Parts: sequence; C-alpha cells; structure tokens
Amino acid sequence: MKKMKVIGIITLLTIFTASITNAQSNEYKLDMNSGRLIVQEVNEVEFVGHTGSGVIINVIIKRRGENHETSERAKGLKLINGLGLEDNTGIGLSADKKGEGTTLTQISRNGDNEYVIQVPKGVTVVYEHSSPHGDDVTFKNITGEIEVTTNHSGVVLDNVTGPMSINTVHGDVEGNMGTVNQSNPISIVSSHGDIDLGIPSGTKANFRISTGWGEIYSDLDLKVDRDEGSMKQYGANKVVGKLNGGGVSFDVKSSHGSIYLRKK
Amino acid sequence: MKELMIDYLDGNLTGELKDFVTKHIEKDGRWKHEFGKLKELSTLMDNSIELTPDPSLRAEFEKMLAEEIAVASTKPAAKTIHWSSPKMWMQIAASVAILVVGVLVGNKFNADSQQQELTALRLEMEATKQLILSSLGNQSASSRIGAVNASYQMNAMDDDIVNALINTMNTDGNANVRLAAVDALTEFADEENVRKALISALATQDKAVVQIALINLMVRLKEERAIQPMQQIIQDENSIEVVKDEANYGVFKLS
Repeated sequence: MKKMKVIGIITLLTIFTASITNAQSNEYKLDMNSGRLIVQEVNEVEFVGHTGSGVIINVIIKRRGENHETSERAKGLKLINGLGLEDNTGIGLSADKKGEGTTLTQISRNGDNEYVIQVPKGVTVVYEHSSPHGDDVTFKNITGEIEVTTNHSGVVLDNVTGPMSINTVHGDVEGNMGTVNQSNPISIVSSHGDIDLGIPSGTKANFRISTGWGEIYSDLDLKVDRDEGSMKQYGANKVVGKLNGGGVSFDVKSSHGSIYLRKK
Repeated sequence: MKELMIDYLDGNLTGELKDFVTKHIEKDGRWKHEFGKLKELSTLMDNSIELTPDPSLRAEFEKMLAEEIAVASTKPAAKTIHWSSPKMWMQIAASVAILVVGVLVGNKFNADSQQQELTALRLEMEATKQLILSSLGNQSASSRIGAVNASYQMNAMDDDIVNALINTMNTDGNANVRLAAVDALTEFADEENVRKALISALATQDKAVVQIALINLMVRLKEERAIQPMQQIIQDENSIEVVKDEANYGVFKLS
C-alpha cells in the first residue's frame, strides 16, 4: 500500500512539474563549417563557439501565457508570419540556404524561445535585429568573424577575438575581448548606447576611440598619438593611440554614449 | 548612366539599348566625357600599366607580369584579405619591385635619379590603389573596413579612391564599413567635392547609425548647407524617430 502511494505521488509530481514549466528542449543541426550564418530577428539568443563541427541549435521553447489547450489547438498547424516564412526547422525558425550561407529567421515576432547556437570555427556569424522585443545577444568564445546590426538589442561579448563589425542604435555593447585577432579590423559603433570593454593587457592594437557627446574612460596603457596633422579633430571627443606598439585597427565609437575601456 | 556604360563596356548590351548608348556616347558631350573616364579606369583596372622601358626588356618584363597576374587571379574572390599581415605588404612590395626593376634598367641610359624615385613612388601608390579598389568588394565586412583604412596610407588622395569611398559610404551593405568611409572622407572634408558628397549622403542614407553620425559631423563642421537635407529628414514621414530627433538637434545647432 505504501509503495503504491509513493509511486502515485511521484507520478503526480512529474505530471505537475511538466505542466507548469510547459517547456521542452529541441535541437536542430546545420551541416555547415564555413560561410555565413545569418540570424535574423531572433529575440533571445546566445552564440557559443565550439571545437566540434557543424552548427548546432538548441532551443527552450517558451510559449507565453499558453496553456495546454492552446497548444492542442495548434496541433497539425504551422507557425507562419507576414514575410511568408514558415517554421521548417521544428524549432520556431525558418532556415533558408542560399549561395553565401544560411539564413535563420525567427517566425514569431514576440516569441521568447531561448536559443543557444553553437558555431564552429570557420563560420562567420551575422546577427540582425530590428524590433524592440529582443534581449541582449551574447557571443561567447567565438573565434570567427562577427557582424552585428541591432536597433534596440544590446550586445554582450565574452572571450571573443574578432574580426568584428558591430553597430547598434540604442543598445549597449559590453563584455571582454579574448586574444585579439590581428588579421582584420574591429569596429564597434553605437549611436545612443555605452560601450564597456575589457581588453587583455598584451593586446596589440591601433585604437581610434571617439564619442560625440559622451566621455571616454580608460585604464589602458595607450600611447596617445597627438599628431595634429593626421587626424582632424572637429570638436568630437577623440583619442587615437597605440597599445603595446600597435597592431590591428580597433575602432570604438558612440555618438551619445560613453566609452569605458578596462585593462584585463 | 554609369551602369549602362559599364554594361556597354562589358559588351552586355544588345539591340535598342546598345544603339541608345552608342548614339549618346557619340553625340552628347557629357556622355562622351563620362565614357572616356570610365574607359580609362577600366583599362587601368585591366592591369596594363603604361611604362616605357627599353623595348628589348619589355618581352621579359611582360612575361614576369603575366605570371604575377596568373598567380593573383587564381585566388578565389571570396577570400578575405588580411590587411595587417606582413605577407600582404610583402606581396605588394614584391610586385612593385619587379615593376621598378624593369623601369629602372630600362632607364639606365637616361639616369635621372629623382625621376626614378618619383616613378617608383607612383608605381607603389598605383599597386596599393588597385588592391584597395578590388578589396572594397570583399564579402567580409571587416576586410572592407581594412580596405577603407588602407586608403589613409595613400599619401595623396586621388579621385578614384575618393569616388570609391563615396560609393562605399552610400551603398555598402554594412553600416560599420560605411562609417569607416565617412571617417576617411572626413580627412578631406575641406575639399569641395568631398564636402558636397557628405552633405548629399545625409539625404539619401538609409542606415540610422550612419545618418546620426553624419548629422553630428555636419554640426561639428558648422556646415549650414546641411540644414536643408536635415529638414528633409524631419519632414519625411518614413524617417526613423531617433534620426528625426538628431536632425532636429542638428538644425537647431546650425541655425
């Protein structure tokens, strides 16, 4: 009798837990080790570099305010959106393989599925986001090239090497660089956001830091280049300097925000 | 006009369109002039740099050059160019050296050392310039920024580079690359044609980050002629709010 009771309670607990979280984990893989991975309008995503091969996308599907009845109603139907895209991956994304690479687009505009996308070394990650519904996009341990364009979403960098081109209108850009890649420039631009970066102490770079109306704070050992002839200063707050003798071109610009560069 | 002429040059036009362009090039002074410039640029970009070395050396030199071109053209277009790598600059130096040796030996009996120095410098600039122009089409945004930055190293900004930078500022797919072009052009903002290009870019830009930066630049340059495109932005219903705000601020500061 007691055993039955215990089994009964465990079963009830399992059903109970499953129904409140209402969450499932799913995976989708792309056999891609080079070229461009273009990810558009995905509201919650973290990109993680991995040493394996291929692009692996894991998702925690969250359907806001949805109860068991609604997901029953949606059974057999496909999620669609105004761009004519449909979920052909089973994880709320539309995948489109074109010449230069693969484009992944989130179907649901307000959706907050959480995606973790693992990328191999040779893939260039391109992230584009325009609505106010996105959360900060994170890049962790990425050694390939990164291109980011967002409107409102902030950008978090964790041990990335560049090359990178990041531009955001309202978002902040913060985090830490890893060993900076010397092959091609790094450019980080925000119109209204702040930029706060940790730079490893041995980094070799030619910094060009400028803000329109903000301030520039740094504890880096920058050798500031004050040659008036070469860089015209038209009233902007501008610092041009070399770190550790100079190296790759590293541009950090904000029109209205401030810039913080920290020695790591 | 330019696109038609480029297609015409490439032999891509047929029938009525081809006749149309041919007629205009012959009759219209402006078309003739534009076509002439385009043809010149196209010849330059087809890699035949005009030199007058001793004729007996020309055959040998042309063989070496053909080999260099063959090696360079086997590289796939999608390859990223590493602007910071010493190897890249070594390759430029090597090709320049081959050209320079050909010229110098050819000029042996007309030894004018200053002339030789000037020629060597010109050849180096030409080689760098060609590399920049072709790299502006590279697929990697970072590579394109590298190409824009390399233009700072040109001792004298020439028209082709300025035009390429203006084109990049207005049409590049990536806002960071456009901004790098704006920065490079700002160095020459005192030149009227560059100034005009910066002002007109203000009205035609569609990337908010670039528009905001341009408005701020105009305010710093105290350029009153920018008021008009800024007002255009303010009155346009389709303008993004944050850009409108910036334009309002710009008009206020410049008035």
